Amino acid sequence: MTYLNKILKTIPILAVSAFLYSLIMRDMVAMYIHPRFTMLTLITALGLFLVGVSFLRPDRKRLHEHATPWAILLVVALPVVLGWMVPPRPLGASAMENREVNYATLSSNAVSRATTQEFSSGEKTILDWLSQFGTGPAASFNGEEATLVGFVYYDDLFESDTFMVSRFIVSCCTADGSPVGLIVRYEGSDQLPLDQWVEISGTFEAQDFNGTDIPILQVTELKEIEPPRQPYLYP
Amino acid sequence: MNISSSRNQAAKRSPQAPFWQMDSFRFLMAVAILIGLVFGVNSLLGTDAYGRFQTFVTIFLGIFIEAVPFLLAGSILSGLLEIFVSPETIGRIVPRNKWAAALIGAVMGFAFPVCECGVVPVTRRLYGKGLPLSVGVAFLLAAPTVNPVVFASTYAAFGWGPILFGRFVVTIIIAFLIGMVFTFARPEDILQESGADEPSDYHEHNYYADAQGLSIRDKIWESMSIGGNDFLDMGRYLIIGSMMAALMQTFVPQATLLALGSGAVVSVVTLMVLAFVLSICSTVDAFLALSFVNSFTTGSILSFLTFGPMVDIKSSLMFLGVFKRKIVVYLIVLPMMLNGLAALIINFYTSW
Repeated sequence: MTYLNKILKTIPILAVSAFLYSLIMRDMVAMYIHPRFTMLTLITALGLFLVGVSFLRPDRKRLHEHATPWAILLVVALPVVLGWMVPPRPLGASAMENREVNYATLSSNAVSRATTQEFSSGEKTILDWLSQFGTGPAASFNGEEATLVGFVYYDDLFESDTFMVSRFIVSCCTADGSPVGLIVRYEGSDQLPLDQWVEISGTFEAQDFNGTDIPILQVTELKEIEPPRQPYLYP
Repeated sequence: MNISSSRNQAAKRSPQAPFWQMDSFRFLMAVAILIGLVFGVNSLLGTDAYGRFQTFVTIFLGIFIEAVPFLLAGSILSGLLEIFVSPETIGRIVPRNKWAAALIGAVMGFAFPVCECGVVPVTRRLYGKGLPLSVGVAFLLAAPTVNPVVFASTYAAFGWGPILFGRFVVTIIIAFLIGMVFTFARPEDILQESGADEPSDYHEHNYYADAQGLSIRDKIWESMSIGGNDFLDMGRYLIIGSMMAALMQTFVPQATLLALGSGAVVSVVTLMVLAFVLSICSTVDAFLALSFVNSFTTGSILSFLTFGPMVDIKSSLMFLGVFKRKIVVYLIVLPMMLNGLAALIINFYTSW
């Protein structure tokens, strides 16, 4: 086997390794997978680097190998090409169009899972609120204050002063992402573009939405923000 | 177990085919055309095509980045097996009794904890070492579920109960049965020959013999190198499979699918289709299945958890690297029928 072939095989392997490493360095792993896998990703980048090096070592036994077809190399380099060429964007409004959204409460099992978390970070997230809403009637949350971060979502069902502040829940990678959201009232909701990330504060009040009473956040303050470093919620 | 000699001949008569005749290239074209078509239609309808495309990329990279560590681990394990384990050892370990052998294959995952991405290169390597077909098939289908990690995650999601035990029992039985189907088949009818499309024809070479006399350090480097070949070889299937799964995730309306519902039969079909399409790693699918508990039957949730790890878009594409095409179809259809059957039995004859 020629040395050129070895180099050809090494390129996509090292490219994937470098791509994973750069994701970690740019603090962007959380855009794609649960951050608990960051260490695993780092180890993988290192492992791929070693594999690449092993290709380039001089053959002691002259093990015979065939050339690797170009098409395979192209396919393996594809994630790197797409990852670098397409500006990364967290799952957002366009991913919600074909998914079921939980906006009133979470199902009881998801609640028991979510409530095992401590609210240690101080701020309750959308997920925390949703799981609380499962525990009592909508009116019992009247007057509670909340500050939430999420992206703007609405569709034809929404009135012009209403949108949903939404996040995706990711338990492993973006493939299992499922959206959750809270309905909020805000004058000028229809001026906000879909997918705009916002930080909002206000108080809850039980109101009718599509025929059921649910707690709806009456927004008093809205700030447009950049997508956070960890765009998803992790149960 | 003369797989390697039959492969020898196969490999010798295969000069390098031109690139447009290669599977990988055709796959690539097919995916490109599919993407083009979908976005063409989409932009005609005036929806946010670029946003969709970004969503597609985000999901694709999510699956890929999540799966790469496990594929690499499986590949390196495969390389280590090649260098350090002799074919005779495999012959000694596998029981002579065919039933016992297939059963061992179905529970071997507890000894080799590999998930659905890692299991394929390992199985292929073990076949190269002369592992009986039935054992390998049972292992391939069962190992992604029957291992300690999945046991822990299923327990965390569902606790002790019918789902946890059902998941393991059903998986072991089905993997065992399908393994038995392959008992009398001949390897040359079943296994992929190493053709021009395959970068590493280790089959024609007994690396184990070659590596004798190398120092431990060199042996480990050789293992890495062999594992790297496996990684490239399997990686293409993983990548194309993840792309197809991401396409499905971007365009198949899950809400509509899930709204289909709760009937004893429809629910099973729905969740099996969903398991196939989503291609989620078996270590976390239990958490996703939790969200179906209220609206779906127990049998259908069980089928989601047993069928998904055996067969989904990305793993069935990876099967192409091990088995002939026709056999891959069997390996999709048989688990589908048996898992569906198991789910229906549970729905109709138990009160779970």
